[in-house]
Amino acid sequence: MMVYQAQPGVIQTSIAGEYLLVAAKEVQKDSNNVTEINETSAFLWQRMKTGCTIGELVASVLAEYEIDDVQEVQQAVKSFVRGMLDMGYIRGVDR
Amino acid sequence: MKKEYELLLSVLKSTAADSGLRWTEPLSENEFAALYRLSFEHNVLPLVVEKLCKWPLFEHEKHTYMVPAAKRFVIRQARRTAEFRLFYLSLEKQGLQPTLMKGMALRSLYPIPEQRESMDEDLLISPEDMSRYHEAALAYGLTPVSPAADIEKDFEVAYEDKSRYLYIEFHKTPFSPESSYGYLNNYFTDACKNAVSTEIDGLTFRTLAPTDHLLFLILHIYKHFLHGGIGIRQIFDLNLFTRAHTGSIRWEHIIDVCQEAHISKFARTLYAIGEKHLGIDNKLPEAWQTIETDEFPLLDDILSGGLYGMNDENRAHSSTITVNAAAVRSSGKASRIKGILKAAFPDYKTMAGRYLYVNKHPILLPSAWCARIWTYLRKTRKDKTVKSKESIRIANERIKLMKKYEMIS
Repeated sequence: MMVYQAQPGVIQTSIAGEYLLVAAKEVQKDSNNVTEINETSAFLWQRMKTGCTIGELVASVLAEYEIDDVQEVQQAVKSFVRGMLDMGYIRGVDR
Repeated sequence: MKKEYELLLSVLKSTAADSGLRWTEPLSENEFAALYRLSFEHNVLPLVVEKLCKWPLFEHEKHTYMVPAAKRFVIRQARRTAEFRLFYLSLEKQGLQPTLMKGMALRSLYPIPEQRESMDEDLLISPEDMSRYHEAALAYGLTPVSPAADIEKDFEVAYEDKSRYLYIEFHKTPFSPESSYGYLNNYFTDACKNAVSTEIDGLTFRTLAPTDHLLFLILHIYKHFLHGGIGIRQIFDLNLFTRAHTGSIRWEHIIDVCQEAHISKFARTLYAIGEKHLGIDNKLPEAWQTIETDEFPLLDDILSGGLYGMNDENRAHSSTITVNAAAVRSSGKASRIKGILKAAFPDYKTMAGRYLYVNKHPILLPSAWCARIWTYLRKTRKDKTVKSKESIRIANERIKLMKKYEMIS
């Protein structure tokens, strides 16, 4: 089962209601090291610090935000994870 | 107390409680400007902006400059943290485990860690490992900050890589052994051996054990007080740390050391500020509960001085006199004239640290004195706010503070 974990060289932070991912040079060599994200993405990031499967991420979003549409949440979580993998901000590890 | 001081303390109180501001009256433009300036001076702008933006009476459109300024601080700090985490992991891969002092360990106590800025990370190491750390730093692409650094002799060696926002200081001892407070290192001889593993944001770091760390924070504040003053953030850090680790502190050791260093009342006052002005009521041991103190003079000194008491050059120049006053207390030889002379003609070790050519050619010490005095005279002529009389006045005021808090007799 694939577990997705945040890379140690990426920090999630916030200021005045804005959520940010800030990456070390080694992680994001050629472009801007700062990515703005929304609150839900920040919430997912916090879960991924210790490593989570897609299923665990979906379950935590459903519980936190009391959303009924499971499929919509699954799509959103998969899209977020894909984006983070493409940027090299997270890695997938076999549990 | 000045209005902006009250406002700043209120922000810190809210930060400690992780709650919103309870201000019921809007602020005037002058009050905003004063608070903004004070926040910069004490390096707490992100904390202030974080609270202001959630305050119902804050008019965002009138103060659009505030958020971008705070955001820059936070991004910079987040970048430093990200880079440092990778550097620390690279050291671990080589079997090196330095001990964190302050920095990241304190940041983790804040609701949003990157809102507390640290320009560097201080790492305590065993002296015999210095050459390994030096090689590891160079291999990582860091360069020594001072080309004349002597990794065998210097008690601390700094390395940097500006492109990666990295500034690392490896310390063989927490304090300079050559300074008048070098004897404080005796309390930390086993600090590396006693270091503990601390999980910070998903990674495990070696940090000073809670009692050693608390002692270091108190003594570090003392050192900065001697050198021109302390910022309110250091008091905030100390009180937050104590609150987080209160069950793990060996208070009898803290009390003993503070007594030996003649800073019991001073340390007690730092906690009085925490309790009465920062909303952090740490349960202190009985021996300290009976110490009566008036925290207002120290608080005023702190808030008027900026982050390390260096927002005024006259204050910075006064530090040689206050450091000497503490040293005189240790040596038993009282002389105010001696303090002033020492300010004008610092000893070889002090000058060698600042003037590389003195380090290499000690015979040039008198030339360095002349160059230093000449620079100071030019500065006072150019900048009317820099005056030797003012430095001495400030020093005398601060010596009165040291007497009030029983640091000297």
